[in-house]
This record gives sequence, C-alpha cells and structure tokens, in this order.
Amino acid sequence: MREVSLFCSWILFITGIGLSVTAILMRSKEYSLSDRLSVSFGFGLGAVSLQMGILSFFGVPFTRSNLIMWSWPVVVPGVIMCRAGKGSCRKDPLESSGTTRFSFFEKFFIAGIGFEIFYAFFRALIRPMESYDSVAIYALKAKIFFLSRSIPTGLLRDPLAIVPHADYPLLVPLSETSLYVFLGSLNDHLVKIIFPLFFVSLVVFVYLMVRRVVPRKESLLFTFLLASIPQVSAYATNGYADLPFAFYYSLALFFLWRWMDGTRADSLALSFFSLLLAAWTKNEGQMLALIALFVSLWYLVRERKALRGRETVSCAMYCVAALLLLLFAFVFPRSLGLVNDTVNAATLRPVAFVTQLTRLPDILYEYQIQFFGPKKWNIIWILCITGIIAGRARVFSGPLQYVSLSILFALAGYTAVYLITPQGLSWHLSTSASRLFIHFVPAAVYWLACLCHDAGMDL
Amino acid sequence: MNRRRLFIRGSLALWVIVWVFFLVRPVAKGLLNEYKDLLFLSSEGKRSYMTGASLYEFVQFCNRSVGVQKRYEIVGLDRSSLDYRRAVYYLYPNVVSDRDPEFIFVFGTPGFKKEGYAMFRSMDNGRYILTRQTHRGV
Repeated sequence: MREVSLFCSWILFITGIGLSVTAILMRSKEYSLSDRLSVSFGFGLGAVSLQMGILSFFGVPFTRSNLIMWSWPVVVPGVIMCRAGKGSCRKDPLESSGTTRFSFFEKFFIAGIGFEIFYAFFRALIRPMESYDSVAIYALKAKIFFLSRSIPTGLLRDPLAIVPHADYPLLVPLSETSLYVFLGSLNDHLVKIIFPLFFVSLVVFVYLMVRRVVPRKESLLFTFLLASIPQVSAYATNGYADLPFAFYYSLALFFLWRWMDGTRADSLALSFFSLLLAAWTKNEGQMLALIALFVSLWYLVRERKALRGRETVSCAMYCVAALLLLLFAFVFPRSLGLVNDTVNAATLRPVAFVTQLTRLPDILYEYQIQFFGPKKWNIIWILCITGIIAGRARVFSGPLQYVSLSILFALAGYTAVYLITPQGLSWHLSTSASRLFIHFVPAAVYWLACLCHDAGMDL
Repeated sequence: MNRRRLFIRGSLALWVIVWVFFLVRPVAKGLLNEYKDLLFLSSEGKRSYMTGASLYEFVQFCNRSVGVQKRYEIVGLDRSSLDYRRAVYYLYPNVVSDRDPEFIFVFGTPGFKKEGYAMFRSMDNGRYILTRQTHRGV
C-alpha cells in the first residue's frame, strides 16, 4: 500500500513538472488542455532527468526531498505563467466534433486502441526488466545511479566496461532512478510502467495532431493504425529507449510542422525542447537535430517571400539553437572521454560514405524485409509506398513537402550510419534496423493522414 | 461507394486481419502459458522464471556468499549473451572485472580450475565460487 502511494506521488510529481513546463512553453491559444496533458508526462520525465543530471554535476545527492525542492526553477515560473494565462485556451479538439455519437467504425477503433493500451501495460508489468539493452544498459545504469545517489562518471568511464555503451544519453536510466528514489527501493517490475505511459502519451498526442488535419473518424483510424503496429506496441513494453525517443522525435517534428502551418513562435520553442529531450534519450537525437535544421533551412529558402521579418528571425534562431545542440551533444561526451562505437572521428569521414557505397544493396535488402514484413509492421510501410506512388504530385509540394522531407532525411540518415558502421553490417542491420524505423513511424502515420486529406479520401 | 473509399476500407480490413493474426499467433504458440505461469509468481519468482532458475539461484548464491563491492569474473557464460548481462545486472554492486578479480563465479563448467584460485563455496558440481588464494576472508 505504501509503495502504491509513493508511486502515485511520483506520477503526480512528474505530471506536475510536465504541466509547469507546458505552462511556460505552450503559450499559444492553439494548444488545448488535452494537448498539454498529452505531453505532460514526457516533458515532466524529461525535465526531471535533466534536473538530476544537473544535481549530480553539482554534487547534490538524489533524494526525494532534493528532487522536489530543486524543482522550483520550473514550478514557480510555471505557476505564475499558468495564472497569468488563465482562460486563454482554445476549445479542446477532443470536444470540437460536430457530433458526439460514435459510429461503428469509431467504436471499433477506440476499442482497438484501448485494447492495445491495456495489453501494453499488462505485458510491461507481468515481466521484470529482462530484454537485452534494457538490462545491460538502462536498468544497470539506473541501479548504479540509485545505489550511489548520483551519476558516478568514473564508473561510466571505467575501461573494465561494466556498463556497455557508457556514452549513451541518460534520460531513460535517470527516469528509472527517479522512480526508485521516490519508492525508496529498487523495483524492476513497477519501473517498466514508464514505457506504456510513453505509449499512451504518444497515441493521444498523435491523435490530437492528426485531428487537426482530418475529421474524428479518420483521426481514430490513423491512431488505431499506429497503436496496432506490433513493433510499436512491443517496444512499449520491453524497457528499450526507442519508444520514449520516438515520442520526443515526433513532438519535435510535429511542433516544427505546426509552426510552419502558421502557429505562434512557441511551437518552435516546444520543438527545440523536444529536440533537447530526444538528444538526451538517444544519440540518434543528434541526427534528429540535423534533420530539423535541414528542414527549417529548406523552409526558410522556399518561403522567404511569404515570411515576415519576425518569423524569419524566429526560424533562424531555431536553426542556430539546433546547431548548438548538435555541437554540444557531439563535443560534451567526448570531453568526458566517452566515444560512440559507431559514429566517431574515425568513422565519420566523407570518404567513408563513398567507399562503402557497395553496402547499399545489403542495406536496401534489409529495408525491403522490413517494408514487406507484416509480423512487425502489418501493412504500414506498404501503405506508405502506395501513398508515394498514388500521391507523387503532392508529396513534395505545399506544406506536405516538409513532412515528406523529414521522413526522407531520417531514412537517409540511418542509411548513412549503416554505410560507415565499423561493426558487421548484417549483425548491425538485423539488431537495429527495425528499432530505428519506430522513431519515425508516428511521423509516417501523420504523413499518410495529410496525404489522405489532400486527396479528399475518407472512410 | 467510390473507389477511394473502397481502397481505404479494403486496406483497413486487410490490416485488421493481419493485426489479429499476429496478435493471436504468439499467444497460441506458448505465450499464454508463460502469462499463466507469471501471473501468480512473486517478484523473485518472476525474475527466476525469466532468467532461468538455475542461473538465478546461482547469482543469488554468489551475492549471499561474497558480500558486496567485490570484483569478480564469470566463467561459463558468453560475454555477449543475455544471460551474462542479466548476471552482471543482478550481481551489482559487485563489479565484473577480468583484471585480477577476487572471485571467479563458475557456472555450468564442472571441473574448471585456475592457478592462484581455490574453492570458496559450492552449490553443486557445476556451480561454484573460486577465490583468489591471497583473499581468504570475506
């Protein structure tokens, strides 16, 4: 009973921090209470893990009272801004449908999404941490941080390599540690609840974003497509960092696209904060920052005549911030002596991309296995390929071009990593390709929704 | 019904069939039994079930026998295997080390010996702990 109340206090703490962050960053009337709630868990957990990184840097031990006390830099401005902006929310898109009665299809989609969410919680909680990376990397780091009440950098840099991939960012292990700190003990069953909670946040957030593009029935259809992808629901339960990363990845891109659709500059701030948390979750976040940078620059070039001076400055500042984040994420781990085993100074040479082009057939072969493999993806990639062929005239024109480019850059970026990887290509592809695709599958679902909307397709 | 709507509804029907099939198949092929077994186990029982009773018992035996913050090496598990990673996780705050470890945990390798190390404690013929001969007391 005590453990349940401590767990509830952790959830309240995390969500409270998340709502404070949204009160500071989500100033636009464009965003409703549902939008704020859908991102509050992810933003809260990200902010708390960043706070723990800073506390450890200054030698403040991880205790419940320290975590609560040192949350004031976020909570106080959050409360002030929340009071100042009271009553400024636009009507909630969850309520903005013309009819409140659900059709047969809508009931089916809601039941399907509900089942996937319930099953994700069940699968996550019935087993302790047991899968490879979740135990070897994230859970072990979380255990070390909890027992030493800090981040012992010496241990992470130890050449004995008790923790493989010491250079991996720390959002997931620190999130697990934050729950242990609140519980006062290690509980490698309950801690897995973090992952289905990210799944729920992602599903609700994608619904709210797709709802801005297509009617309720079609929004539920696309949300159901996302929730029912076996690979996505599997990674909502197994303790890997890929689903939390997909959440921040999607947020960063969706907020950027919202800004391009004409919302206020706070969408750029939200996108940047999500970029930061993505880079704090996985090293692939650096590539995401690069994608956001390229897409924003392309937008600046394409829309330069339509953009007002203030919008151009906002976008330029966003590009500079993404570039600084990229540099920091690249340089800081190296200053601690942490080197990534795939992307590093030895492998990141322009000549390597050219000389290794012979690997391309093997990479494309693995991709087609993924595209046509229903066991992991059902038919999502087949629908995307059909969409590209059928909607080829729309894919690279209008606002959809920025969504298409973001997905295309992601695919190109991961392909580039496979070109230069010093590890065995077949092994690297077979152990990571399907996981990496999860990162941009919510973006692909949104892209499909936009394409259907542009083509005037409905259910 | 227009062709576009027919395409969407056809795709949806196909999607649902594939979704249900790949949802039900693993459950029917043994996952249901695993769920039934796990549902009524304690936390320790679940860890033991997932890790394998033999290895989990041995890891617990090692933790009880050597205390904490000792350096050890594992013999009998491949370093890149999931079992090895699980053992390292459960054995922390004892730290794995191949540079003059205080203990060698021998798993599933009957008769393993190493110069400078003597028998410390034994669970059975294939699961035992060797200790560095200069390090008798724990």
